[in-house]
Amino acid sequence: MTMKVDMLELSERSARFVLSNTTPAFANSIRRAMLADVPTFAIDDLNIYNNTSVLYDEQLGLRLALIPIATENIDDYTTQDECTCEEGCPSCEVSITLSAEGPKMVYSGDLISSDPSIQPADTNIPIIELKEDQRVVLEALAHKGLGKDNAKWQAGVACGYKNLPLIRVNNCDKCGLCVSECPKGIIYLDEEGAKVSEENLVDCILCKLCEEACEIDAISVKEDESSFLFTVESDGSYSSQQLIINAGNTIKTKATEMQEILNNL
Amino acid sequence: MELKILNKTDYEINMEIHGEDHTLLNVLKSILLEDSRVEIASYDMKHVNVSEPILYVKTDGTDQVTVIKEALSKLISRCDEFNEVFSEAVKAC
Ligand code: SF4
Ligand code: SF4
Ligand SMILES: [Zn+2]
Repeated sequence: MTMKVDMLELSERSARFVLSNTTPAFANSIRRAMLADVPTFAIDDLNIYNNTSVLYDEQLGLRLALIPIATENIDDYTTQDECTCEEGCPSCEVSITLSAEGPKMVYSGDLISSDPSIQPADTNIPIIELKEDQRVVLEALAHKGLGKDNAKWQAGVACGYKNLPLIRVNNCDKCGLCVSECPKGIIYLDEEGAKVSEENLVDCILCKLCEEACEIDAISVKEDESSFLFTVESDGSYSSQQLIINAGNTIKTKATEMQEILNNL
Repeated sequence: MELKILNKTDYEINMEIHGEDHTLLNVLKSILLEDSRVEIASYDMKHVNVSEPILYVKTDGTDQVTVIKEALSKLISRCDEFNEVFSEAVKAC
């Protein structure tokens, strides 16, 4: 059977879709890849020239590192480990400067990147509040990395899935007990008995309260092991759509690489 | 990625796969198990941060490397299929 995707919601930062006719292992690989294996940029190193703010340098570094950085041409860059240089060059490093003087609230939008195609994904993330005469002058170095090494490189923030339900109704006597028991209110009665409409299936939380409520075991709820309702949220490093495609590509790259090594054995 | 074949007989192979984790190994294992020539396919990973996974495959006598290569081809075509149907669904909405 061929794979199928039904898009339920799609926006710049989030998506909800049903992936069917596939295996739990494949669905889980896609989920893992979105969380840990799609590369992004993140601030990884700092040169601090002046910091008279209330935050000490490391704390400032932590806050800067977690700012999502959007990139369009990440493939043009390499990670520092793979780069031929010793200590940072234009193909593995992007320099971002910050220079601010109080009193003011410093936002991610105040960061100035040396590469216009690599920018903080949001401009309204507060970094630090500076009082009168307090100053922050620094150069931040952003590197390419993977979510599995550090959460600052994680592109997918809330990525998960659940199985769709398989709801079967047999010999129902239309007592209506399951209707009032369902916390999602998706069961209704018609001439044949209890029913859940096709579009409401995605709302079922597989709690099986309907099963318990039914005195004659007429209704049964099982997990559909081949259909997955994905919920994906991106931190802004990529659009949700790009993140999902990149997850597929990442797994493909891994498989291709392993195949090449095996071919050359 | 780096592969190290720890031992190989006519039926079995033990292969250390440096730099990979459950993302690749679990789906690869499950595709290997779909193949009727494969009797056992499994992998062992002691700890995500400090150990490299070891893939173990036992076949009916078919060369294990061939079987693994075919499983990888299947995985590649599934990724292509996923990206294709996903892109279509994006266009349709
Ligand atoms: S399993 Fe729970 S949510 Fe799903 S139909 Fe039954 S009662 Fe409703
Ligand atoms: S509780 Fe059982 S018998 Fe009553 S309506 Fe639901 S499925 Fe039918
Ligand atoms: Zn470099």
